[in-house]
Amino acid sequence: MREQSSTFNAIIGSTLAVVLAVVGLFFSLLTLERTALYGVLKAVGASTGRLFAGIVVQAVVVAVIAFVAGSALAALADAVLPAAVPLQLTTGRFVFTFVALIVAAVLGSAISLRRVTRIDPASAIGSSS
Amino acid sequence: MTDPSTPVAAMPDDALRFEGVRKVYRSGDADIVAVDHASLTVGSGEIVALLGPSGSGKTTLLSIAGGLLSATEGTVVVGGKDITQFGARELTEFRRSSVGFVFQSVNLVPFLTAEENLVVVDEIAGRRGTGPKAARARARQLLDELGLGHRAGNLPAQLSGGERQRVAIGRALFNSPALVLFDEPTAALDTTTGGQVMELIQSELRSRHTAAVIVTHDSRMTHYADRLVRIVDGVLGAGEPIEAGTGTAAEH
Repeated sequence: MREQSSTFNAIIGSTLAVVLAVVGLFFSLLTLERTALYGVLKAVGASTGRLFAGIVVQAVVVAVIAFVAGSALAALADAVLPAAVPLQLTTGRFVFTFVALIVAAVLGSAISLRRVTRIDPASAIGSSS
Repeated sequence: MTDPSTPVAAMPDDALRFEGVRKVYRSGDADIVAVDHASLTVGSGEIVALLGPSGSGKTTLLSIAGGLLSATEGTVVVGGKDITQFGARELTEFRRSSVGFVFQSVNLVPFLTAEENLVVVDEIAGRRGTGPKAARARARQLLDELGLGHRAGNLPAQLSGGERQRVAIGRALFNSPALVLFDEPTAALDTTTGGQVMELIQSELRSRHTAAVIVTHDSRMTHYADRLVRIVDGVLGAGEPIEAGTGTAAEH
């Protein structure tokens, strides 16, 4: 039993790691995709701090919505799946997942923000010369 | 209107003054000189066309004037203030309130309406100024003036290219800057629409007595300016007066 349990834990752990990496990458790309937009906002007077605050708020809001949707799906799975399936929802896991999700989202966004802070607005805007 | 035949003397109320501005980019081990010892004065309310081929350094010069890029050497005075001495915070405030920008394309926030694209200039600064209501009223009035009153609630994707560029002009004028910088404002437009946009730019600048630098590689666009300055390989030519309405000085 114990061996089975540790195998399951290893699977859950690596799945979670992959999920967090994907989430981080998603937010990183989301920020990168908008480099030109941030360049324009900088040109019309947005400070880097202001842009950063906006990006973090955006990441947290999306992550919270995703967490609520994910939790609902987990609860649904718990209710629908037969009792033989080893699914255990604990408050501790919810809290851990929530914190990890927020951290991944903010970190992912922040990594790209390094590029945003260094934006040369002229090139971000796609000028010709 | 400034008499185009006489170069404008350096006056305290000059909109823009470049003195020996140099911009060098490091690329690997090589130094690339984008702008070389440029000196240029744009008088209050004067419209200067900066004409040059791609890669001539004209966008770099425009970016330096707008506080987006820092000069490697030289002095840049906008509205009497030497912006080369500004820190990051001062530059942010300078870009928000002292200059306006119009880029060649993709420059509106896609998920905001025309009106919100104007108001955003105040909102992103975290400064509501006279309050959001007043800002919205001001935006609406400006859009009316630009012939876009009926389009105020439309998203950029619902507007034509010319309309989008007019919204961008509105955004540049929103905080009543003394200097507006245009980077190829008609490059993404067809000739007819481009001409209409240039006429609108000219009349808006004149009525507000706002100075402008208009970067272009299209010599047809230069006759909307008071003076033409050519730039080749980062070096500015002497200013050429433009004969009203003909654009002869601009022909190649």
